Amino acid sequence: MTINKISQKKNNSSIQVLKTLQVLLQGTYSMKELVNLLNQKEEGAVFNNSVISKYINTCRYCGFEIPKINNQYYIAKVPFGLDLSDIDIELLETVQNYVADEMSSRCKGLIDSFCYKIAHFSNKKISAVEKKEFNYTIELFERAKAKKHKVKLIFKNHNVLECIPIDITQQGKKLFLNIFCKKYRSIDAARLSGIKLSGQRYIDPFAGDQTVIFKLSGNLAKRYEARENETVENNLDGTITVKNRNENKEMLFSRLLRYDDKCELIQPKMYRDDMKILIDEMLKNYGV
Amino acid sequence: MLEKYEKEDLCQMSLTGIRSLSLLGLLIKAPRSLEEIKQSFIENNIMQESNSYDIIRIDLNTLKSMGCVISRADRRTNNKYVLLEHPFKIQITEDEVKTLKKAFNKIKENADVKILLGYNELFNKIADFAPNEDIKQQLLGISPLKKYSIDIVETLHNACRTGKEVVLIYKSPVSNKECEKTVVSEKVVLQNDKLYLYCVDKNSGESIYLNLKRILKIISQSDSSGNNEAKKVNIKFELKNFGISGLEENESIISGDLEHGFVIEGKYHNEFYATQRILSFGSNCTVIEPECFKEKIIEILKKMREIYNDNK
Repeated sequence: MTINKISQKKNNSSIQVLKTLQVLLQGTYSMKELVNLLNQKEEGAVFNNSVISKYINTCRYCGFEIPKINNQYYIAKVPFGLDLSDIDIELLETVQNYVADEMSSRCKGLIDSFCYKIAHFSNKKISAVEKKEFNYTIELFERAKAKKHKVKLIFKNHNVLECIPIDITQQGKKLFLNIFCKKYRSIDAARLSGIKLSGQRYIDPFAGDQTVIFKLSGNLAKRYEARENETVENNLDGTITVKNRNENKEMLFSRLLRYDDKCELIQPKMYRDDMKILIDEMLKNYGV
Repeated sequence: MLEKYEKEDLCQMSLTGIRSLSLLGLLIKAPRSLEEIKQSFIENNIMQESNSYDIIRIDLNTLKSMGCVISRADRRTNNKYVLLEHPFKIQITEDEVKTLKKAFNKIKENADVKILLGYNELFNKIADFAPNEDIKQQLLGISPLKKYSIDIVETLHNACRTGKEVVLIYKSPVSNKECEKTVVSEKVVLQNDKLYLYCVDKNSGESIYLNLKRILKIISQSDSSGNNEAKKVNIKFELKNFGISGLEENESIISGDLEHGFVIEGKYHNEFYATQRILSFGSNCTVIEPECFKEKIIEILKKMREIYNDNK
């Protein structure tokens, strides 16, 4: 046989085994569904129950775990998939537990699905996370944020605070709802008895297409490393002008304050004014 | 991967299918030469010594026809076939990666470098099985260590655990010139998504911290000699609200509660870092002592206010 002819030859039976494997990697299917899915791209009825069973056995022999539960076939283990270490499993479970405890049920669904796929594609199992009670307050806070609705926080002492939801952070075992209002920046979730969606919508004070311009001077200007959301222009006087897009306002202000008098917030004017007010407040703390 | 093949099983399986799956598995794990593939097939009873290499070439064609991209085995690849791309990947979605990133961004805030190194390796592993280049890049982009030399991070992390003296080449952020530094490493930390080495400069005896991105090379390591205990800067301050970031491990609550605020004691590596940290709390924070540090913060704030005095 010449090399030329060899280069064109392939095994049809192997191709069908690989096609069966490819479909099984997409999800869980009954035999009938497998037959339909696999024949969709064929000219005739190439696949039937008998050959698919043979191909599944072939995959099983090669180390694929393909259980049949309630007449549904799925891949439970891939022999040449991800080679996960015990540490990898621990790290994935940390993510899964964090999302289950602290994030919305939608996020939990997404990360569970992610871990499910990883587990099926690996040589190790990732243990299922215990189902936690649905945290309605957290869920509603996130929903309000997504829909840009203000929220009314109801305190255990019956006070009500209307505010803009920002995000949720954790300090040790405590959960804090970070909010935007005149009086508070964040509220310990334990102080709340409930939360209501306010009918009022808000314009996100942090996100959107917000560009903030600040100028840096001195050594900081020389060593500043722009972030992914920033562009830098060098000025003739040795200063640099940084254009920052869409950074959380509170995070940005906290960072710019660290740069002390080597940083000047230029635009937008509202931010500049807010920075000025903030510095005045800081000075007031010292009676100045 | 395979159990030894028994002839009586043949009727229930596809022998050529077994070879293709075995070949795929072999190539996913590492590049292989024809000889290595044949040897593995013989060991697993799915090929005989007398069989020609053409059988394997046909198996390679079969994989290619299924969408596998396999390089030629030539001098550049050490006569090995390299699997560059294959369609048997994990169907990870963009939303799943976004959620993973969101969760990881919270987890990393309190994670030490060992954990960050672990996640970096994990994301790299998963990225190899990403269904497309976009998802792969998104996965590779999650880890804050993506821009660092992992060798340097690991070496410094280990040096910190044993308190080793390290001689390194550092590119100064001010002069942009390379210089040799001898330091006693204390800890590698992630701050504002950047890695810093906290250490004591052996020449000056001062506590310094170096951006790991600027550490170009580690020349040597040795057991440190003498007293390398760096003097810490102790600051006591009042904090009304934790705001966006939690307390650092070097900060402890002395008294107070959420309603009335806390009195915190921070032990900082140097005064520069202490100043930055205090300023970053904004109006939530008031320095209590030492008096000289309090005065320094007031002076800085006055200078900052001057910048925003539009009537000047």
